[in-house]
Amino acid sequence: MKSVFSAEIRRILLTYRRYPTETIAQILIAAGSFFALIFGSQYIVGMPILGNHLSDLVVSYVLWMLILNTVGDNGFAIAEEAESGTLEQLYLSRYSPVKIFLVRSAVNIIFSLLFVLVVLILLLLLIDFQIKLSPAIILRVLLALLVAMGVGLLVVSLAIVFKRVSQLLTIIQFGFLFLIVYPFAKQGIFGKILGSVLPMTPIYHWLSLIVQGQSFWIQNGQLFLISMLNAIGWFAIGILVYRRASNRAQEQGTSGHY
Amino acid sequence: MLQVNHLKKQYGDFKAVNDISFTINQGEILAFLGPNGAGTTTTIKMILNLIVPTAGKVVWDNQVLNSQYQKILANIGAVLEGSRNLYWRLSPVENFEYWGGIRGIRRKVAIKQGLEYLEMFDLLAKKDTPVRELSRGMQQIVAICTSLIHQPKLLLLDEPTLGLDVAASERIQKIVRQLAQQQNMAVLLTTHEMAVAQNLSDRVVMINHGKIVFEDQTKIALQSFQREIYQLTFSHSLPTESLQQLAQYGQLDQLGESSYQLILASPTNLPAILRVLAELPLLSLKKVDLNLETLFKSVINESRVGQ
Repeated sequence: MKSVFSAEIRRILLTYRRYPTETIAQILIAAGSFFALIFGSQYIVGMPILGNHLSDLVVSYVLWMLILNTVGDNGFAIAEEAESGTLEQLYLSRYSPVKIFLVRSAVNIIFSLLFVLVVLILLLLLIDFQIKLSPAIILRVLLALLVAMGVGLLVVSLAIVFKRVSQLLTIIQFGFLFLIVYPFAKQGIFGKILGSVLPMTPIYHWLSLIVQGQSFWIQNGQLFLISMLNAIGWFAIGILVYRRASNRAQEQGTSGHY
Repeated sequence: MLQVNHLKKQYGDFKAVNDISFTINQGEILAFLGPNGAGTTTTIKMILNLIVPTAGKVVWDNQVLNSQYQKILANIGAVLEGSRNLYWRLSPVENFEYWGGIRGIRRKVAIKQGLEYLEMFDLLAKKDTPVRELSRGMQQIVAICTSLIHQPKLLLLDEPTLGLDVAASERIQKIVRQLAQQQNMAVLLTTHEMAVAQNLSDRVVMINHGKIVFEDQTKIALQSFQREIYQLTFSHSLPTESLQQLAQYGQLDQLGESSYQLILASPTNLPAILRVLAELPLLSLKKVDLNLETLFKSVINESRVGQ
């Protein structure tokens, strides 16, 4: 599998090197959208967004982008490859498709992280603001990525069976934004259950508490456990559904083009 | 080397492939032919495990392949029809690196192997040009080179010359012949271009409606096809009545507005046909040399009649 991993890394690096303007444009659009969001919010609220709100906003935005890149890249890439025909060649590998797509997801995440890190640094420099990246934040980001991989595999599964996923990806993008900003914890017992089960929500809630200065293990032990289960659960669901979708595509002969 | 035993694929009530069996040996080029929708691509994809058969099995080196398809895939290269098979943003060398990695080949070995094939097929000068900038024929050659970097024993080519100009098609045919003769590679070829199949194949299998309707050595098939074929040109198109009159002596296909091809059901019919033609506005009558296209048309038509 090492050869698949390094081949995938090289392919993405080569594409970045050959088409650098695409990457630069993506970074600028991501940073620009953030400022549009901040100034838009200030205009609506009527006062500057400062302190914890700004930290929350930066963290939410960066996390959202990270998830979108991870989920979207997987889905779009598979739909595109199904159309062009390279998807079938991937199925002709001596490694199983599940292994190949997991490696691809992992590589995708590495590049998404790098991309988001560049955007984060750019944002912090531009708004002259600091966020301490504690091990607690990093752990939660890793959990969030595990969820993103799981949801990414769900999108891949849909792309393999139905092919056309661009509309769905748009819904997922805004769905995740809702999951990140909606205060499930304040919505009673039903809201709390939903907030524990839906992808990413406990992890984001936990992350938000940390950014606001609450301690990591002691006060939020239960949240930590729920976040871990949420991440592992969605990752497992992603793999199981992908296996079924892949088998179904092979049964129906739809692993090829449109 | 590869045996396909009683392979079936059914989608609901529709039988896409219905009990197909054949073998292919090392160094052999097998043309697997059929009209659109006959089941050729489905069969190829079942061999590659891209489609799971409803019944039947694929045997590789006397070993039945059930769940261990990875074993056969390490021995097969495939260039599929209508697909890019490659990343167009990357150059040939970069594609060798990538697809070598996907197939578990070390980077240096994949590049070395790919470059050797590019050199063999006179395309080394284009090794660093992004694939999207190459001609359609060159892209197809690079796809074949890429499918060979893990040194497979069997190469599956689904419509390798589709959409290529004459020169590019001839180049691909030369390559396929080289691979079979010099490297003892087995080649399973599907094509709708019968001239290509005739030029390349040692053996031919024809299928229609998911069933094998003809199978033989290509040379023997052509020698033993004892039909007389005539090309008829008239001053204007014939009325239905005249067409029906001619069709009772053999298989009549319209070639142009006022030209037809008649495959005689029996050579003894010739005098009767000449009598019919004497009443028609005939401009020319030409005996056609027998080729695989005629054989294919005849076999497919007979299989339709037999249904």
